[in-house]
Amino acid sequence: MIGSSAPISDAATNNTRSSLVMDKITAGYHADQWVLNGVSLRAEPERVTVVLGPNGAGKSTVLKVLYGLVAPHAGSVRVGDQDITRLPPEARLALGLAYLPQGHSVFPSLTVQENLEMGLWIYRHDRARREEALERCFAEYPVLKDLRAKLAGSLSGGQQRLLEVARLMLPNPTVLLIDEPSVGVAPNLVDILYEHIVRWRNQGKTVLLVDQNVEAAVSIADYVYTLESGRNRLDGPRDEFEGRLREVVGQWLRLDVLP
Amino acid sequence: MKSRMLMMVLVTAAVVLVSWLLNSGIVSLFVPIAMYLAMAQGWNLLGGYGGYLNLGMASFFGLGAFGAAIAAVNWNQSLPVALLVGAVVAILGGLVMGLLSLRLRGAFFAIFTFVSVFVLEAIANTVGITHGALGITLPTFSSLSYNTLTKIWFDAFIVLGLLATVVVWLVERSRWGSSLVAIKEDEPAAEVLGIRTMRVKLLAFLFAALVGGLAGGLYAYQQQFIYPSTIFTDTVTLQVVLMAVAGGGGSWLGPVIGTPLVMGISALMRLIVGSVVVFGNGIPAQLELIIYGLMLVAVGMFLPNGLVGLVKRWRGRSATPAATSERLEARGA
Repeated sequence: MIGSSAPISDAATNNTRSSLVMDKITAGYHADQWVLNGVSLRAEPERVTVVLGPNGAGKSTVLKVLYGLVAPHAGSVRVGDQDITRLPPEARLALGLAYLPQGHSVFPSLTVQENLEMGLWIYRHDRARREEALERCFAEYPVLKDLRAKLAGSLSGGQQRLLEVARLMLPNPTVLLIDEPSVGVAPNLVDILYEHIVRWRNQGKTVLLVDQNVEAAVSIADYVYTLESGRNRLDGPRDEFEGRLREVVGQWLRLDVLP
Repeated sequence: MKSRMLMMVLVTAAVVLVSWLLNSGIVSLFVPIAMYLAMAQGWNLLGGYGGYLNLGMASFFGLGAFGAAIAAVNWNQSLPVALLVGAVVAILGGLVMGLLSLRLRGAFFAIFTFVSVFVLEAIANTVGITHGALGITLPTFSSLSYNTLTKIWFDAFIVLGLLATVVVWLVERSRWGSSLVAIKEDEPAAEVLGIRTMRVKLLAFLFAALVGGLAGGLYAYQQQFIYPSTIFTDTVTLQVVLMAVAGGGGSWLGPVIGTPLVMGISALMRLIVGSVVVFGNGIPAQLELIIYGLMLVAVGMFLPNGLVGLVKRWRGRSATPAATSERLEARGA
């Protein structure tokens, strides 16, 4: 890619497993009303790392800072040993990060093929790589090959979810940031995504998941962080954490009621 | 694809040829249609495909007209140079407006561009270089007869309009066109995929500026006389948007159908309603605006995707396989 401010490694051929580190990040949308106040966390390859917290704790902002959609005020973000704090999303994409936004994100009046091409936008000048990626995608999701001339909006909910997942995986990312997969989406579609998350973990990918559905998220987690009012609270491996889950969530419920 | 391009060249040549065979009175009726075809296609990329309601076409049109007129009169430049100056002024204006407004979404962008027309009108009325409210009289082509000139202006506008149509047609089949549609449907999702949406939108906005500026420059020469309040006017904007949207925004065919249709209907309405006398006067000069306003409301209510959308719906939801497979073919998929 031309015009990026940092050297970019080759995501598709780069099979090094990258850990993702957030170090004392302060960020938000208005100065002095920071959503995150010095949050630190770490996501490792072959692990599903889950971030939990009550409403307004800053969970989604964590993902947005990691992906470059929100610029932090202070702190740093690293992938492997590279500092990516100031890189725009397209540069992070090229470094092997990928982000799945909340809700539905296919483009209904584009065809399946065109939707997939949008997922390869950063490689729009590299035809060989695009073809290789599409071939890999169609091998994994043959149904999309049959549907590729159809408008995405005419697909079933399940097919749209597959398209979303396939598009996410086209650049062959190593670090996946997944934002609230249970919000505003039918339960069976959430299941499809959770199955994929487990598969990605087993393939050695780094997965960072934010979800309101505490029980479901913890069930596939390897490591859990909790946030409250933009600060780190508890964290620990799933086994250690599971016993205290009830207590922690109970506390949030009280927090939500009492100011 | 190549055969399509050849066809477009032949169509253009045929239209130009026919204009020389017809009576200049008839050709003069088609001059505004040709001009607005160009402007509606210019608007189409960002407004139709990208879903950003640009209500500032009159700004580009006016910048082009005054840029060309000032170059021709104040600086004694020839017509091609003057047109170029007009286009450059419009593009620079588009750059400033785009950088300021394309971060705004929805209504804010529409309002910004709408207001730009009035701001520019006020400036043009005040500064000396435009001769203020006195207007500018352009050099005449006294060696040419009125009939010949009419045909030349028609040809100039129709070549611009068909060129703009070809560009839109090519963009529709390109990855870039898909990215504009992606921006319309879910801009945050497009950003997440690494699409620099600001850059894509700005390019589409500058295309509108270029085409609007060239149309404005030609219009200044054709009219021989321009002054701010007839050029920087929301009527121009309204007509452009209506023509694109009535035919079908986000389709290259939309303006091709919409422009003659809207022009025809409005001419007919003026004939019918214009003969009615109210309070001893003809219906006021604002009639045109009223007609366009009503048509825009009707299109918004009954034809949200224009005539092109209506035909698509008749032929069934996925009646686009022809276009789709063509797009796939164009990309070698």
